[in-house]
Amino acid sequence: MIHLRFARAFQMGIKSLRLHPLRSMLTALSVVCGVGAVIAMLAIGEGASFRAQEQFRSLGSNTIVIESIKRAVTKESQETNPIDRYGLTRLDLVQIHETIPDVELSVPVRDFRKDVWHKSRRYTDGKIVGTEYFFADVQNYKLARGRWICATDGVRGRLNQVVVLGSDVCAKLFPLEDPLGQTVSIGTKTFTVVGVMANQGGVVERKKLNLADLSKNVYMPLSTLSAYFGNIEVVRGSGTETRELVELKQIIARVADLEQVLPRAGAITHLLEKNHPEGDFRVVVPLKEIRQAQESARNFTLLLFSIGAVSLLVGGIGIMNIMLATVTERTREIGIRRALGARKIHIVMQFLIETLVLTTLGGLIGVLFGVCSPWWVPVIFRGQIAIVRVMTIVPSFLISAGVGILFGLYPAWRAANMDPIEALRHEWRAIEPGVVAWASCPWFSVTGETPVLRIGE
Amino acid sequence: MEVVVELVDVYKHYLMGGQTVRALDGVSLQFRRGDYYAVMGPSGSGKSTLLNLLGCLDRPTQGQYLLGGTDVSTLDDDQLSGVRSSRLGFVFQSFNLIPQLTVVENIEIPLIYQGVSPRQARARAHEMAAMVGLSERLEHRPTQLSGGQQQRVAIARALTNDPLVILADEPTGNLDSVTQHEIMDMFDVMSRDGKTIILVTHEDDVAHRARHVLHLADGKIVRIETSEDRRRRMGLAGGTA
Ligand SMILES: Nc1ncnc2c1ncn2[C@@H]1O[C@H](COP(=O)(O)OP(=O)(O)O)[C@@H](O)[C@H]1O
Ligand SMILES: [Mg+2]
Repeated sequence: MIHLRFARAFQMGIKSLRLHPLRSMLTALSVVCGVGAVIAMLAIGEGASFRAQEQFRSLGSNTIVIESIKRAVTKESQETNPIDRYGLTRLDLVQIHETIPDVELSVPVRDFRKDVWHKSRRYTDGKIVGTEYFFADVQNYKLARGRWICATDGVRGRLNQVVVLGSDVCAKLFPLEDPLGQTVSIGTKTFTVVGVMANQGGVVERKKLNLADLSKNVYMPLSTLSAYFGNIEVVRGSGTETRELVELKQIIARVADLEQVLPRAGAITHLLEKNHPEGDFRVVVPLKEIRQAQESARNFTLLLFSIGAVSLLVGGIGIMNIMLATVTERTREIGIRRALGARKIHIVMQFLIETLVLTTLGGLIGVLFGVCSPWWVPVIFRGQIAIVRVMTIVPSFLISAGVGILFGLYPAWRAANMDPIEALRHEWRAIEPGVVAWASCPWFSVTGETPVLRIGE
Repeated sequence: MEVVVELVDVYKHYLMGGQTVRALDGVSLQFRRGDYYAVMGPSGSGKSTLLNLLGCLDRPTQGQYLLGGTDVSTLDDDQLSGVRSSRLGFVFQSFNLIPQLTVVENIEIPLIYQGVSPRQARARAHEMAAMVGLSERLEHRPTQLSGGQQQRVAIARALTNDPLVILADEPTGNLDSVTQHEIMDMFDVMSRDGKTIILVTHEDDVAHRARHVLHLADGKIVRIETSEDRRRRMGLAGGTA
C-alpha cells in the first residue's frame, strides 16, 4: 500500500524539479519536441493522404476508362490498306453495356484534332470531342457558365450546331468577350457556344494516367460530330499522312457499386481482349490509382510517424539521462528518506512521479504544438497541409506519459535500491550541469563515483 | 522499567578483500525505557555499526535484536522501513534536512511515510516546531537557518513520531560550543520526558550529559559505567598524570 497521496507527491515532484529549473525545462523540452513531432508528422501524413485521394477522386472513383490505342503500323499494311482502322467500336460499347453487370452508364467518346476559330483568333491545341449528354455527369465535370449539351441536341434531322468549350479553349478564344451565344468555326462548319466548363481538378493526376487534358476540349454531340466530320481522321506527321478510322476513342463506364469497380474492369478487359486480339485498347481504372495513392500516403505517414517516434524516444533517453543524474545527485536525500521510514516503493514513486511531471507537462505543451500544426506546417513546409485527427491527440499524450514511466522506471529503481547506510554517507553536492550528461549516461557507471566517507568518527 | 532495546549476542561481519572484519563481535546489551547512553570508543571500534543496527538500517550477521519486545533481526526491508518510521528517531551529525523542503515539510516526513494523513501530519509538525522554538520559521528552507536551528529541526523531526528510541550520531559534531550546549540541553529535556536516547560521541562533556557511558573497542563492549563513575575515574586519571 502506498500511503503517499498522489496530489501531494505531484506537488513534491514539482518542488524537486524547481531545484534545477533550467535543467527541468530543457528536459521537458525534449518531450515537447517528441510529442509535437509525433502529432505534427501524423498530421502532415494525413494531409498528404487527403490531398492525393481528393485529387484522384476528381477523376471519378467509380469509373472505368477504356481508350483506343494505335497499333504499330507496318509498311505493307499501310500500302495494302490506306485507311488504318483500329480501336474501340460501337459493338464494344453495346457489349460492355449489355453483358457487364453493375455498369449503369457507358459513354462513347470520339475525338480528333482540328483548329478552332473565333473570328481571327485560332486555337490549335484543341480537340473536338463528340460524346453523349451524360458525359459530364459521369466525369463529375462541372460547368462554369451556360449549359451542357442535352439529349435533344444531337438528334438526327435537327442538328443543333452547339458546342461547349473547355476552360482553356474559352480563355484563349474569348479572353474578354462573353462566349455564350457567340460562334466558333471548326473546318467549314459554324457552331454556337452554349456552355463553358469549369476548371477540372486532378490535372496532374490525369497527366500521370496519360489521360487528355479536359480543358482543351470542345464538346459536341457525338451524332453531330459524325454527321459533320465523318469517321475518318487525317493525321499528318512529318512528311507522312495517314488516314485513320477510329469508331470510338474512349468508352467511359460507370459502375454502380464501388466495390465492383476492380472486378468489372477485369471483366471488361477480358471481353475486349476477345474482340481485339491485337490489343489496340487500354483500360484505366482511377480507383486503382486512388488505392495506390492511399497506400503510398499510408507509407508516407508511417515514415513520418517513425520520425516523430524516434524523436520521442530520443527525448525519453534524455529524460532517463537526467533522472539518473538527479538520482545520483540526491543520493543523500534518498538515504535520509529511507532512514526516516520510506519504503523502496515510496522512493520509486517519488522519482517516477518527478519524471511523469516532466513528461506530462512536456507532453501537454507538445500536444498544443502538434494541434497547431495545420497553421505552422504550411508556413514552414510550403505546399504541405496538415490535418490533425482528434484520435491521435490522446494517444500521443498517453505515449508521453508512457515514455516517462518507461524511462523513469530504471532511475527510480536504482534510487530505491541504494543501500541506505551508503546513501547517508554520500556527500551533498550539486553536479555541474556539464558533468551531468556524462556521469549519468546509462553506459557510464554512476556508482563508479566514490562516495566520500567522513573520517574521524 | 521495561526493556525497550535488547541485543543478544550480536555479530556484524563485513567481508573486505577476502578478510572478515568483525565490526561487532558478540555484543549483548539491554536498554530500558528512559535510559540515556553515550557510546564511545576509538575510530573503527564499531560505534556506527552498532547505531545502524539499532536504527534498523542494517541487520546483524548473527544474533537477535529485540526492539520493544519484537524481534526485528528477521524483518524484511519494507518491515524495517515501517519500524524506522514508527518507532525510531534519528539525529545526525550533519543535520540531514532535505534542502528543497521547508521546516514543516522536513519535520513531517516520518509521519507521511507512516501513512498519517497530510492534515494531521502538518498539525503535528507545527506542534513539534513550536516545541523546539521554531514556530516563526515554519516556511524557511534549511539553508536559511543556522546550524543550531537546523539541528533543532532535526530533533523535532526525530520526535514527531513519538519514537521508542532516539539514535544520535555525534549530534553536536558540526556545532560550535555554545550551540552544542543548547542542543545537549534539548537532549536533557528529552531524557527527562522519558525518552530512551543512544548517542555516539567522542567528546567528554557530551558524554557526561548521558546517564551511562558504553565503551566499545574492536567490536566488543569493554565497559559500561555511569557518567558519574566515569567523571570520577577521569578526574582520578587526570590527578595521577
Ligand atoms: N560497509 C562496510 N564494509 C566493510 N567494512 C566496514 C563497513 N562498515 C564498517 N566497516 C568496518 O567495520 C569496522 C567498524 O566500523 P564503524 O562501525 O564505522 O566504526 P566507528 O564508527 O566506531 O569508527 C571498521 O573496521 C570498518 O572498517
Ligand atoms: Mg563511525
